[in-house]
Amino acid sequence: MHINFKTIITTLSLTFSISVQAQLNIFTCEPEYAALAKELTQGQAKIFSATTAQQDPHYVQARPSLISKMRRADLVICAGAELEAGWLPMLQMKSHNRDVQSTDKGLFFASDHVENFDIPVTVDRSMGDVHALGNPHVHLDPHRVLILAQALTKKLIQIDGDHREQYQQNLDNFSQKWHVALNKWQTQAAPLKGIKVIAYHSTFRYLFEFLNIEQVGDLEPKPGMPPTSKHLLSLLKTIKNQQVPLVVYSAYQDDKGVKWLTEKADITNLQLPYTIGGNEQVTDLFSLFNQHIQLLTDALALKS
Amino acid sequence: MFGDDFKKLQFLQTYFLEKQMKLKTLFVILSCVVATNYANAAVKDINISAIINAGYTERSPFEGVANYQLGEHAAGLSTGFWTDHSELTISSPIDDQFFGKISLAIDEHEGAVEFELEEAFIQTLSLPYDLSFRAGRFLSNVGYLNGKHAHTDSFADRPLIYRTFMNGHYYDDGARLSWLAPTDLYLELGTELFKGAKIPAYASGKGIGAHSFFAKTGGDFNIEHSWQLGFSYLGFNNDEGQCSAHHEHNEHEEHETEGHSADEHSEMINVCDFSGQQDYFIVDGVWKWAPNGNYKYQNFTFSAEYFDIQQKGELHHEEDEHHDEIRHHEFVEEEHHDAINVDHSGFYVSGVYQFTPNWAAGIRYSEITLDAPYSDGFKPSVSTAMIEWRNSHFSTVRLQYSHDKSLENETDNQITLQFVMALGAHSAHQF
Repeated sequence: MHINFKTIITTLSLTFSISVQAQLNIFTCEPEYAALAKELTQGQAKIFSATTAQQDPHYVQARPSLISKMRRADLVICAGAELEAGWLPMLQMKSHNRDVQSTDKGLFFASDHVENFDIPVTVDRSMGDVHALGNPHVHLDPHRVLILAQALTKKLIQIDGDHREQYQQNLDNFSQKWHVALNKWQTQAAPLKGIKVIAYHSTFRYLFEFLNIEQVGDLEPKPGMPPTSKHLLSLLKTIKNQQVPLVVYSAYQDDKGVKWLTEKADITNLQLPYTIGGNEQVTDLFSLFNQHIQLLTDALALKS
Repeated sequence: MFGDDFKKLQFLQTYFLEKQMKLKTLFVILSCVVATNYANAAVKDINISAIINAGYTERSPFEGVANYQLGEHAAGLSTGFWTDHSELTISSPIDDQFFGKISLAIDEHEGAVEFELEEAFIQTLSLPYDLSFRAGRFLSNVGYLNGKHAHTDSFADRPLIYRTFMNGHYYDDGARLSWLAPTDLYLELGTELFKGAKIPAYASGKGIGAHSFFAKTGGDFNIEHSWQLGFSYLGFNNDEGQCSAHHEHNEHEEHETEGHSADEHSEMINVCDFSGQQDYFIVDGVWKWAPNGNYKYQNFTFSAEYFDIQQKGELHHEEDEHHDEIRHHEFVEEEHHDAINVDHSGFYVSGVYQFTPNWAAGIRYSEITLDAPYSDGFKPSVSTAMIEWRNSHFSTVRLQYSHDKSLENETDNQITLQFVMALGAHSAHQF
């Protein structure tokens, strides 16, 4: 029997490409970018997030399921700044997808489009697992989210020019709503100004900057290293000396050190949602910041 | 001051010029690394990393796995202090079409430093139809462990089946074409053609001496559980005349003179004694679990592989008969070529549990079944347990114990303390 492989392959790929063209396939490394993409595409795209709020995005396995998801992606959106260095390059290589290999095409790194905090002058491994390109958790500042929305819209138009007007309209709607929310958050957050906290990693660096909260200690002795008892004792001193009222951590971080510390010091600990799904109330970017401000003010019993 | 430095430089230069080719090679490589590091600022995609793998092992000298034909890496860890298989890797996208990688393993055998070019390949990044093509020298993608670098393993040495049947791992010069099926379920199909010049392949002719087919599939059961399955075939057309592994020959002879009876001696089969077709059928499975799918704090990995190996051809057989009756102490070498058609099999299972970000422990068992004349019913096996401490992503200290029954009349208890450290780029790992 003579099998014409060329015909089979062409038929298969045609069948497949038809289903792809109908809707944009977006692969995001983290849920916050899935949420942003959702705001900006409004049902125009099929969106998948590789991680959940319960997973540390530094430590993700290049799983087979993620390879097949990336194979179909027209656009990959990630934080960048080496946050996903341990798994994203492997997925790109294994996905055989030529559209998502470089930022010239269907690859978007959020940290490329905003100013990143804490870019080290020199990087040395004795400092721990430091990101040479700065802190990658950029979605936790509402001002930066707005800049990211504009940059991502440009990328969507580049990839899917047919829907240019629609993407532009989505961006305008989102910006308008965001500006209203931003004003509200700024008013609500006023009482938080100047509060000192201890937190896990530099996860909430951008949020604290926005809220004018000062992080005076880190549960990790060095980035990426779990808390040691010696380090916890030094934090205990910091809490006493600087009258720190609160210790903050996220759902994917271990709470053992946090609980020990707050019990010893007799202060409050608070699990803040890092991203969408971080608690039940957080379903989009708006509720993420609503929750941040509400949880922080409640924990500190500051009513505005 | 400047003059002094210049003299030093001149001295160094002459020193290295006088040394052998090997040292020069090292110097050139190191200069390249330094130079590329400076260029790093401009090309942010380039990855340079060095792996230092060192340790101390308490064990009896390796003397074989039953009577199977073995390559030089079959021995596993050396006795005493060792620095084995340290690696230097440079990888980077070349342009929008190609990705390239070079990795060099540095080993020492009997006092001589050996550089093994383990990988030097280019891979396409933009072929249509979900295809990908790789050419050059690379690790074959058959099985689960073979395509991975040994320093990413959870144990200090490769499992018994890999050391016995793959010489640790099989890499060679060749080409690979693989295709990712347009299905929701991950399914990759691929084929490789190799020169057949690296043990376990020692093929005749200048063309294609080895080839493989592989199928890999996998997915998630839910957010916490993921799996992968692989089915592979690897075939060689081996020819004893083409085998270049002569030093293994000598090694075995040395051991033989170290006090083995003549009977055992005559049974010893060398790495290149077989000529003919050798077919490997491999099934591999991996299951990983992490609470909430968050791998940072706790996770568990179960992996297992099964090999079925068919050998069909001739076995070169030499019997040295010492004719004492004749005063001349003559050796009469009798050469035979026995036709053989045999079937071997083997497996390993391993489980590794990371219980804090800093600590992990694992166990592994590997057993092989060899047909005559390689074994007369004895099944070599090794049981291994390890505990490791990771200070960071980049450094691991591992304590490993192995109960080794590779030989029928000897049981060896092996203790290893290993340090695996990565310098430079943090490369992404495979599942």
